[in-house]
Parts: sequence; structure tokens; C-alpha cells
Amino acid sequence: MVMPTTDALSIQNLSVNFGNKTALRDISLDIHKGELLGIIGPTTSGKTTFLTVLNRMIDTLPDAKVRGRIRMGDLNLLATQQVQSVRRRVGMIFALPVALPLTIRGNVEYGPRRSGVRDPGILDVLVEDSLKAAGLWEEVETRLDSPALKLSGGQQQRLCIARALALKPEVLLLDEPCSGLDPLSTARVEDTLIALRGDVTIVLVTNNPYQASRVADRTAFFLGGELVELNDTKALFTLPKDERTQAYIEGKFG
Amino acid sequence: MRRQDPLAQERRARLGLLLVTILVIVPVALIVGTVIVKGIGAVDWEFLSTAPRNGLREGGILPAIVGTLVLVAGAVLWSVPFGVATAIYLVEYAPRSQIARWVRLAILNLAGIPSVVYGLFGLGIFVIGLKLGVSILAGTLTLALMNLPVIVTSTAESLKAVPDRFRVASLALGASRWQTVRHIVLPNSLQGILTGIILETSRAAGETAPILFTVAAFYLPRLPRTIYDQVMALPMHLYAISTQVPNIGMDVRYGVALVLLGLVLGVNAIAIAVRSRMRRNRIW
Ligand SMILES: Nc1ncnc2c1ncn2[C@@H]1O[C@H](COP(=O)(O)OP(=O)(O)O)[C@@H](O)[C@H]1O
Ligand SMILES: [Mg+2]
Repeated sequence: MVMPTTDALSIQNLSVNFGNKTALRDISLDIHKGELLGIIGPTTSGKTTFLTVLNRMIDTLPDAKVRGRIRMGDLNLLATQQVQSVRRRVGMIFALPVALPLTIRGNVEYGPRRSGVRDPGILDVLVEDSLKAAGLWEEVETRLDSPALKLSGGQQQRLCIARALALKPEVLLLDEPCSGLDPLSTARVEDTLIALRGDVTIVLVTNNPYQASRVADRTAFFLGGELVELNDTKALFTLPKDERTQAYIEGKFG
Repeated sequence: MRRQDPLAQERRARLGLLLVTILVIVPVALIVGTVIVKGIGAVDWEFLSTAPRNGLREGGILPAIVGTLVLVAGAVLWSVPFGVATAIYLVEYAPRSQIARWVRLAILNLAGIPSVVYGLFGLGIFVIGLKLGVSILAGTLTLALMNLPVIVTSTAESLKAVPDRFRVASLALGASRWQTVRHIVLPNSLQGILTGIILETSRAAGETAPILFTVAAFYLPRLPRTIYDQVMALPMHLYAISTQVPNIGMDVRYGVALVLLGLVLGVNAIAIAVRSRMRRNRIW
């Protein structure tokens, strides 16, 4: 490795089984610091499983068996006992936004408070900065103490992004974050991701190849638990090397 | 074959079901009504605030009221921490473990044991085995043991009612299991847990068998001072005056029943109020 510091995550020979079912097969790829990596592929191609490995949420699935190595800086991510610290450094956003049954402020403060931040001044700054970074501040500024579950779906999804950002993560994983959102809310989330790129490493799983072609620096194509192709987004969409990639893109693009 | 008119059939079915349903309410109304009508004459301030005199024939039932309250409070004190902790472990920490399977099996069986068996067990283990004597301590421990399976079960149900997606979101934000329980699961299931505890408590208030050999006294006019004292209790007192004291007024028996019933129904009313408040406040 020439410049190890340019990779946020380095994944080697990652395989995941659920019982005797293979969800991921021998995946190796490096995720560069600050890039926005798109992951496309049909359902059951292993995209969600891949993300849950990266922040160890896979530990909560009882039958999952994970093999391989993942390095994050000096950390052996799959071996460490510090699971909570991994999840703070690698945030995750789910397909369906889940606002916790707390206030808007309570949601954003949740992560920092659980990691021991108590100072009200620091928390206030974190709340404002995170909501601004997620593009939600103007809409909720005057009602931070009202229940988060009253927000619209699109607002809840950006709240989830703000909530993850409040932990100052190095990597942000998003699993089809716009699948339940209307086009306008989708555009707002995409704007948010584009603005965050560079400061945070982003891995965006999407069931919509258009979305990857719009926002991703590089795009990976998953199929049947395998990484078929990984390339600069433009190259992958215009000149796919693998015919399966070509077939998927063409199928989706008509 | 005669063709049935579906409309007439429907009318008959509705009427029949309604009549049966009314039949179910009748005994409850009769019991409550009878107890009130026959007992209200005996219940006055003296009845509620003084000790019995003259071999239970005169005076009030204050020691039995106090005794029942002490027993119920004591049983809650022992059973709630153990019951809630067990339920949290079963639901939040190890739902699929071998120990969880054993505990669930044990609870299922414990819940089916007749209360008199708990009474004998309490006598054997707490009163004689642990040398606690016939005492509040032995009696409340016995009652607690009887409450435990129900409290574990009702608490577990309340915990399970909290949607899993909240737990997942909390864990994904780097919270530990315990932090997730403490900050997400418990606050959102507390009212359900409390309702279960209160309902179980009111059931315990009316039990005679578990306290018969472990704590209850027939005639003990002075109020308890330590946890090694015996106490009188309302269900026991009712049994005692009905079977052991000849020529006692019917109204006195019904008066005791009325106080016991009022206590139990009052506690249930609290539970219902808590539960309806919970439904209104639920936000997901
Ligand atoms: N918790 C689980 N238990 C068993 N099998 C699972 C579980 N999660 C995912 N799988 C299986 O792993 C494969 C990949 O699923 P997933 O990662 O969800 O794909 P995608 O997100 O691309 O749709 C699928 O075949 C799926 O059935
Ligand atoms: Mg998926």
C-alpha cells in the first residue's frame, strides 16, 4: 500500500453467510477518504448486508457469519471489541427513516449523550451544526422541542442524517435513503449528501442507478453477493467492462 | 330442505349473542350489588378506624386493612425488581438463549400452580426452612413468589410492544444494549409495565391461601411494628368471622367484603386510568 491514509476503509476478502446461505462472496475494495461511493445492484445482491458489516450492526443479526478483514486506519474493524466506537465512527441511515420517540433535539443529542457528552453548550452547538449540515435547520429551528415523529418522511430522513452527523462520523452509510421519499425530498437529501462529500466519506446504496450516476464519485455494482465491477461513475455508466453491469444498467435505463 | 332467510338468521344470531353476553355481566353486577347493599350498613368511620374487640364480635377492622396494605406493598417490593429485571433479560438480552427457554417454561408452570401450594411452599421454605417464622417477611415473600410469573409475563409483553426499529436505530448510534433499554425501551413501556404490576397487586390483595400459614393472624388488634410481626388481613378476616365466630351479624361479614372489594376495584381503576393515559400518549 503506497498511501494508506487515503483510504477510509480497506476491505479484503469479505464474505458473509446466513446459515448456509451466502449473502456476500469474497468482496475486496478500498473506500477512499471523502469520496461518495455509490453501490447499485438488484435486490438480494448483498448491498444492505455489506453496509451492516461496515458498522458492525451485523452483530445484531443472530445467524450472520462474517469472514475477511476490514481496516479503518489502524483499527481492525471486524476484530475489535469496541463495537460502540465503531458505530460512532461509521454512521448508518436506513431505508425507512426511524425517528426515535423523542423530541427533534432529543434525536440529534441522542448519540452524543450516550457517548458521554453532557455539556448543554456543546450539545446546543452540535444540534445546530448537525441540523444545518443535513439541510433541516431552517425547517425545525423554531420547534426543536416538539416530537420528531410529527415530521414528514423526508424531514425525518434528514433528521436521521443529522442525528448520525452529530457523532462526527468518519464514514456515513446510507441504505436506499430515498426509496420512501417523493422526488422533491429526494433532491433535498441528494443536495445534503453532495454538500457533505469531502468532509465525510459516504457510501450510498441505491436501488436507483440514476441516483448513483447523479451524485457518486465512484460506483460499485453488486450482483448475487459479488462485487462485479467498481469504477469511476462516469466510466461505469458509459463504458461498463462487465456485460452483467451493462445488462443491469441498460435494463434500468430502458 | 328448508331455505334459511339469512336476514332472520343474522337477527337471531345477534340477539342470541347479546343475551349470552348480558348473562356474563349479571353475576358480576349481582355480586357487587349484593355486597354493597348488605354491607354498607356496617361500614362507618369506626369500622374503618378501630381494632376489633370482644373476640372479633365488635369494633372495626383497621388491623386487617393495614395488614392487607402492608402485605401487598411488601409483595410488590420483592417481586417487581426481580420480575422486571428478568423480563428485561429475556426480551432485550437473550431472547433465543437456552436459559430464556428454561425460564419461559418455568414461568408457564409457576403460573399454573394453585395458590395454596405457594402457601405450603412458603411455610416450608420461608417460615420453617429459613426460620423467618410466621411473619410479614415470610408472607410477603410467598405472595411475591406467586406474583412473579405474572409480572415477568406482563412486563415482557410491554417491552415487546416497543417496535424493534427503535432499538436498531439506538444501537446504530453507538448506544449500548443497556442504554437502549434505559433511554428508549423503558420510557416507552413504563405505563404498560405499571398497569401489569397494579392488576397483579390487586389480585394478590384478595388471596387467602398464600398468607394462611405464613403471616396471617386471626385476632391481633395491635398494628404491626416490624417485618417479623404477624398481621391480620381482609380475606383472612372474612374467612375467620364467617367460620369461627358464631352469631356474628351478616352485615359485618358483608362490610368486610365491601372494604376488600372497594380496595381491589379501586386499585383496578387506577390501572385502567394508567392504561388509557398510555394509549392517548402513545406516539408511534
Ligand atoms: N437477517 C438475515 N437472515 C437471513 N438471510 C438474510 C438476512 N439478511 C439478508 N439475508 C440474505 O442475504 C442476501 C442479501 O440480502 P441483502 O443484503 O438485504 O440484499 P440487498 O440489500 O441488496 O437487497 C439475501 O439473499 C437475503 O435473503
Ligand atoms: Mg437492501
